[in-house]
Amino acid sequence: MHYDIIVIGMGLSGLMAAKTAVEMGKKVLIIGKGVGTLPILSNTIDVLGSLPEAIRMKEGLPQWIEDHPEHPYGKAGFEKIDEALSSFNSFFPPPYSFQSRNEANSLIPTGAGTLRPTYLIPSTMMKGITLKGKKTLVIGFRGYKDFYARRFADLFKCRGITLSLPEAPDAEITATGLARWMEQASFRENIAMAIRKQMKGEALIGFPAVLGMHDPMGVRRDLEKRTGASIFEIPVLPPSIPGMRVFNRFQGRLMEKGVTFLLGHSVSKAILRGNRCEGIEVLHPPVVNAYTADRFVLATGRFIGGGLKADLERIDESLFGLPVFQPHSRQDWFRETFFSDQTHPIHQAGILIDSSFRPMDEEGKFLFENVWVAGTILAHHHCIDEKSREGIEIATGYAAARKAFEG
Amino acid sequence: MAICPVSRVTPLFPGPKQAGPGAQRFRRPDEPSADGWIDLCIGCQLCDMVCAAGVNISELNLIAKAKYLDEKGRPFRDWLLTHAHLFGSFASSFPAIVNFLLRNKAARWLMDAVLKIDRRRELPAYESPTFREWFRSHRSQGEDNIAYFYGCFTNTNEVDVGKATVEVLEANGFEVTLPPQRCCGIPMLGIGDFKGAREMGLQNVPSLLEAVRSGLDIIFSSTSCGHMIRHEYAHLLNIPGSEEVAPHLFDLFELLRNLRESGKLNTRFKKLSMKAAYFAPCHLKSLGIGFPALEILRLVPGLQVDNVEMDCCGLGGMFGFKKEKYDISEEIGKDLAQAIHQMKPEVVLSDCEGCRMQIRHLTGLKVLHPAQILRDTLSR
Repeated sequence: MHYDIIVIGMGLSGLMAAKTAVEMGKKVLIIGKGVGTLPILSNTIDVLGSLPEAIRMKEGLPQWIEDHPEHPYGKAGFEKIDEALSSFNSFFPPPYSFQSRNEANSLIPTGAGTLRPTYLIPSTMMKGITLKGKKTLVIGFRGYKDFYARRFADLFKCRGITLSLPEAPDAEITATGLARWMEQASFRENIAMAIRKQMKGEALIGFPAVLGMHDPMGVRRDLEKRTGASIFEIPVLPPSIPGMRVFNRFQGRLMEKGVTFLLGHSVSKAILRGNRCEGIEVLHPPVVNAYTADRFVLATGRFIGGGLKADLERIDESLFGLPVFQPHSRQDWFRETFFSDQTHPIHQAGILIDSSFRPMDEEGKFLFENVWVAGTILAHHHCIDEKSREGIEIATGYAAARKAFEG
Repeated sequence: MAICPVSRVTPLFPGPKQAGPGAQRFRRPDEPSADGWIDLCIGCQLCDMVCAAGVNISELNLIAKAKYLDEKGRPFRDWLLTHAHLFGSFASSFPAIVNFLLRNKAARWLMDAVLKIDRRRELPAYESPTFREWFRSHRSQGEDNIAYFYGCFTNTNEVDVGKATVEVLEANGFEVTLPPQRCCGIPMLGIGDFKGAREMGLQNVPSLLEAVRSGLDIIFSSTSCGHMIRHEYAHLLNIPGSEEVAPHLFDLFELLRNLRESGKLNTRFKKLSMKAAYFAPCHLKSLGIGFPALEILRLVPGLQVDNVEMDCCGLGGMFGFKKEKYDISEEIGKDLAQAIHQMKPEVVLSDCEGCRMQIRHLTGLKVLHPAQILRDTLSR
């Protein structure tokens, strides 16, 4: 099969690249060995969490980009980042949409008991950012190990209760199981009744982010009606239901638009000729399927996603064998202590690109004329410290696909 | 765990990672199984699909399940359910009597009580003549030759799927032949009966190999049979010759998509004003060919096909027939049924007989193989 473009990697950057290409009318194949890190790491959309809350993103980010020209944001430019975020948002029309407060970062309370700066927040979580000073009740579930209401309550000076569910009195409960129950009216009726009995005049109720997979705003509205209080979701430990909602929405919409999805299969080989990639091979023993395309986007992520591999000596990109920008020796990978104030140099490692998102080596030499690179695999970002993971994925996925067709 | 349909509906199954791979850590292989819940794995392989580290979880679970059931022993019921191919032709000779018994309340009560085959699950009716009998009196004509692995269920229970497949192939210029074939063995593999499954593979591969060596490609219309022969025969069951067969084995719609790519697809479709919902079976997903039926059906003018964005119908082959698992099967299926009802389709389409059975059972809607719709739109 031949495509206009093949996107390798099914994380947020790959999904954005596929979205961008298909909306340009192209024939798109997206292949990923798994669902990427959306269901693990993403709840809200970070763009640049290190920017103080007082500064509006559209003022702070262009300035920051000027100071960081090598950063993937520097390659994309503010205009493309802004377009990319609008494009992402177009998949999430109300009621379940992503918004910022005052066009700046907000501090969102997390299940780990921290206040975390982030930019775009799902509608279900918005009321959490104004929790301070409000009489709040927080709900946990017995057997659900990824959120402890009482610990959250201690740290945020509110009241936490743990509900026992007759559906699973002594069993472990999973986030997906809870999310499914939440979509059943009878379940909501039962927990709302149990909550009402224990309410002491609270006007705000916090739930772990499990208010249903498909219609979280509907679930929330119903629970608000039944309890008489405002309700918000709290981002919790993985798996992330909000991350899965994003993945599912992308998969559904992209398939509707005609994108071919190959989920669960990894590219075993890139077919390279000179400075072009001709196609990919997918080994599914004992069969090898080959797919060809005019253009390719590499969006395979970092170490968790599998785009970068580290052995005892060095870091490699295994699919195209692209040179990886990295510290000169392994001794320089990490700082002295894990929780150092400064970033570990290994986090800066990655693929170098030119301004059109094509891979380069350290001398600035061009490597492939029809391969573009997107996502966290890129060099020169500290997405953990900057709190920029989703922003980088969205912006570079969008930009790489645009550059691939527009030059 | 995030994707597993079983752990989504029941706390009894702690999720794929905890089962096979988790329970096998640091143990001597000969120690007894520690995971009695392993039998609840439905075998959908969705965990393999989403694992970011590329671990073949479902295979580890299947091996653990086989070990557990080898130790514990399998009930006669399981043998019966996985050997339906042995009674198929007999049942199709006396469809009136057999179907009466399959629907008879007293008989079902007895099966439920004695065999633990849940009486709420409809048992598929047998048809006469069988697909093979129909084909014998059918003259297939075309410029190119192609072979067809139809599978037991098509042969005795859903004959029209076979007819539709043949007619679609003929409309695209193929003369169809049927290589000698038996059950592909997937029902046995589902209960961890590697030996039984391998036996079926050993009987099928020589005739399929002969077809391939004479220059034929082989088409399947059941994604379960197709996945079994294309991937499990070589990888899990180590059947000689299967590696040579696999690259020549194609899903019907995969073939049509390839024809389209080379500009050879018969696209003289009649207009068909209809709203359909398409559900992709688990084994289609594991085949890793995308959703070719969806791509082809979307070419038909007037036909609106929407993809049902749900994972796993919950039948899991023989899983959903078993009394102790029926509730789990139905609970998984309810999510799918609800999603389908919201779409308000006139017809539901799926490439797997198991999914079709479950969707019929839970929605009461008309459920067809995509080939049956495509056949209706092809002007001949």
